[in-house]
Amino acid sequence: MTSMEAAPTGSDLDRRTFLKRAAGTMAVIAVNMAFRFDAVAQEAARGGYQFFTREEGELMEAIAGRIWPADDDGPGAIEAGAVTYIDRALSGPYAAYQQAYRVLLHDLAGQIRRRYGGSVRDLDERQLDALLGELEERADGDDPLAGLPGRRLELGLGPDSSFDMVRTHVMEGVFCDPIYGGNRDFAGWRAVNYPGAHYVYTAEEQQVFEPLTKPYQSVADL
Amino acid sequence: MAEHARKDVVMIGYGAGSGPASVALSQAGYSVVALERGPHLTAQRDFSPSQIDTLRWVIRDGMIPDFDRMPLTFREDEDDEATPTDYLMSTLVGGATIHWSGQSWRLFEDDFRVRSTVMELYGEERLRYLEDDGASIVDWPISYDEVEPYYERVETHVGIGGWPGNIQGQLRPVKADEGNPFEAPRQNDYPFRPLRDNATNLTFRHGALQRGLHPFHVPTAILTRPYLSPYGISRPPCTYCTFCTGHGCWNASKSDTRVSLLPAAVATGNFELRPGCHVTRLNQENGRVVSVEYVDTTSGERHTQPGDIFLLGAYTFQNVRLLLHSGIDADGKVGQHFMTRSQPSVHAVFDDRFLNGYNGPAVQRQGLDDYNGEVAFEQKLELSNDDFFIRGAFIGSPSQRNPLQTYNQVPPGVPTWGPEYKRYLTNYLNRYIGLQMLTEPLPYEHSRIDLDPNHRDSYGVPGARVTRRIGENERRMGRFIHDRGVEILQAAGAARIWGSGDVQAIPTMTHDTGGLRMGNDPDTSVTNRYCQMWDAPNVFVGGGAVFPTMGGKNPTQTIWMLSYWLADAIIDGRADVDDARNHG
Ligand SMILES: Cc1cc2nc3c(=O)[nH]c(=O)nc-3n(C[C@H](O)[C@H](O)[C@H](O)COP(=O)(O)OP(=O)(O)OC[C@H]3O[C@@H](n4cnc5c(N)ncnc54)[C@H](O)[C@@H]3O)c2cc1C
Ligand code: SF4
Repeated sequence: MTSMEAAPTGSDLDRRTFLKRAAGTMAVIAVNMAFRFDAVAQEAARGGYQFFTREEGELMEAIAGRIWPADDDGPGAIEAGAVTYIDRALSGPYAAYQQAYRVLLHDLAGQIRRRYGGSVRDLDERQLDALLGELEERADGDDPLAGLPGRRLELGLGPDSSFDMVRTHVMEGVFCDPIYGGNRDFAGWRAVNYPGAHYVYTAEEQQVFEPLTKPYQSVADL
Repeated sequence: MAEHARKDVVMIGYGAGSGPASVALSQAGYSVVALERGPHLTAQRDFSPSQIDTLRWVIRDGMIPDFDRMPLTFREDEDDEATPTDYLMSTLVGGATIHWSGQSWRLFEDDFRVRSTVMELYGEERLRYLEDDGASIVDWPISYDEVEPYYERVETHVGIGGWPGNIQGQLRPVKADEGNPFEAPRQNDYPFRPLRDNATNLTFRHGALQRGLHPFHVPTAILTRPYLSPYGISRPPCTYCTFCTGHGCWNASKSDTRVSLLPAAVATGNFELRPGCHVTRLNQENGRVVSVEYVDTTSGERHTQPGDIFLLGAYTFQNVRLLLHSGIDADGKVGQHFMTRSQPSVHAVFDDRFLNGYNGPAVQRQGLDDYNGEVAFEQKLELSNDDFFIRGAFIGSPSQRNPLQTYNQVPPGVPTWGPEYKRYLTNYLNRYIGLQMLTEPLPYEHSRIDLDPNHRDSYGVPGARVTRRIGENERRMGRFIHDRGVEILQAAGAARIWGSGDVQAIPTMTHDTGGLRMGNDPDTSVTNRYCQMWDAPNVFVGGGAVFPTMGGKNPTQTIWMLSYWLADAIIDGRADVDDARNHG
């Protein structure tokens, strides 16, 4: 909603912060434009992502697949398109976290190289889980998020840690409306039997103590 | 700087505190302008169907401002540096009532006389710990009987439905097992019934009845039948879409300041709504406020709006910081006795049933007042000195438990990611209940709002800084209420229950009240009984900042009620806008 408001003017201080912020915004726009220009040429090389490089995309998929794994009950975060969700969000509303992801994924890739001598493709589930477990346990100061620029991070209003950031975004990608690129074929909603976007629930539907069957629906279907 | 034509009444913010007064005053012939910082969103144009999207409105907080627009900081101790915290109220035409839940009620009779009540019930000796802790409980300068007709006016005109629990002393007169038997006596019934029960409600209700308690469906500011208000505004009933709290209603069924009140003000021809105007200062001349300054948020241009009477309706934090920034501090009393809601938590899952808690708006809810106010005073008399506390809490069973809002609710011992986490959510997400426990926080000498020296908003006005810590009463109440919640869910048959009796000091951003306390004595209060500032008699406060104590209930019906109350006092002259001490 704040985007409906013009940049503030007023005291010199305001103007300075505004100019700084405008410059930041321009840079982001420029970067996004650049992505868009070579998007077609590089799509295959990048694994279809706009923001993540191919290597980053692979690593993100591996992580997402461990946070919400595919199992006998059904598909997991990878199949649900959670990484596509994050990729799109980072190219738009979550642009402020671009650098956090870059730094984090670089850090993780480096660790994998050092410890296992290869890329994420060479790791088994146990090794991946260990890596994620360590990330979750990292002390504040060691967290790749510490000290990164970004207004919300500066204010201490961002995610608690990079693990928290990634887990939250993966779960958003699992449970969001499919219009955001995640929850593909309602994979996330099917897992928990949530029918999604509906205008109406009847008394009969509300007063059963059994799972409810109602068609899975996106806001785009309304 | 553009200067506008003088208005009789200038409203700062257009939320719950301004709405009723905007109608009453413009109907009485006053020229009124409301300066609202946010945009004017409407059900048909902006919420349908986009509202049916949890990620957009709730997770990405589609209506709340950036920190730099409404800075708010918090610290527990005077010696600490306050750190930023999120401002989670929607700022747009209608205020936070656009994305509210709509649980709506009157306070108890004894909420208006807390000090006298607890003195009578427990005596000075038993209450010594409160004094040691700096608790500043008082009686309100108004009584329930005086404002009862105003509460009723809110119910009929804004649109609030319920089962009556007490009509003129008759308990549960309409339905023997419905309605809150502990509510303050009402003269008349509600205009319509509340929402129906869903599986979550029925489960909670069962547990409460097993415990011998008095559950009821909470009164709801949501229509359950087509309703034509006395203002001639007609709206359709709720369809139980469940995208309710955190969202604006696509169907205009959720009563709020915009759909229930604004059209009535506009219809008078005396009311002007000016969205996109962020007020930055109240200007004084010879000890009287004469105009406000604001920034047009689209163009960035500065404007001046002169007026005769000013109504502060910008929510507790903004009301306080605007006054302080404008040099109106009532000898240091502005900002004192701040209160905010702090809740313990109780969660549970069931093995023997699905609840499908995602279906139903959040306020489709059974609850009970058996432990609220002093209803349980006999039980409390039996408590040891280390456990004894005053006041209490409403306990209820909210709905709207969809996956995006519930995936973090896992019991201790279950991991929060990985195969086991997925198995847990797959099995239990739709078998989950989490209670609401509206514990009543007390006011304290040391709990206050002032200006933050380190953070200014984008227009140069210092942010609001809250200093608050949890008192002994809150700690004891948290433990007690938590345990009662656990008992109810055990009796309901829950397979697994977890939670905590701990409560937090940080503002929870929904029920932030106090700071501009009303009273009978100018030495100990900021406004008089008509929400009129003692030291700036043409300034009135609309909103919970005037509450001397808070009640174990949501505040908004009382905020709307006081807005009608202060407007009537202006119209019939009980409030003398030249002298706040001269009132009827
Ligand atoms: C998610 C949620 C659920 C809630 N559910 C319930 C419930 O079930 N029951 C209940 O009783 N209460 C509920 N509440 C609380 C309820 O919303 C508030 O009690 C009520 O809105 C407060 O009224 P107000 O007029 O003081 O402030 P608001 O309604 O917030 O209105 C203040 C207005 O002033 C504007 N403003 C602020 N600063 C300026 C400025 N400088 N210049 C111009 N305009 C300004 C804001 O944009 C806003 O529109 C809920 C709140 C939230 C956030
Ligand atoms: S649940 Fe009812 S009141 Fe709430 S948003 Fe949906 S239709 Fe409106």
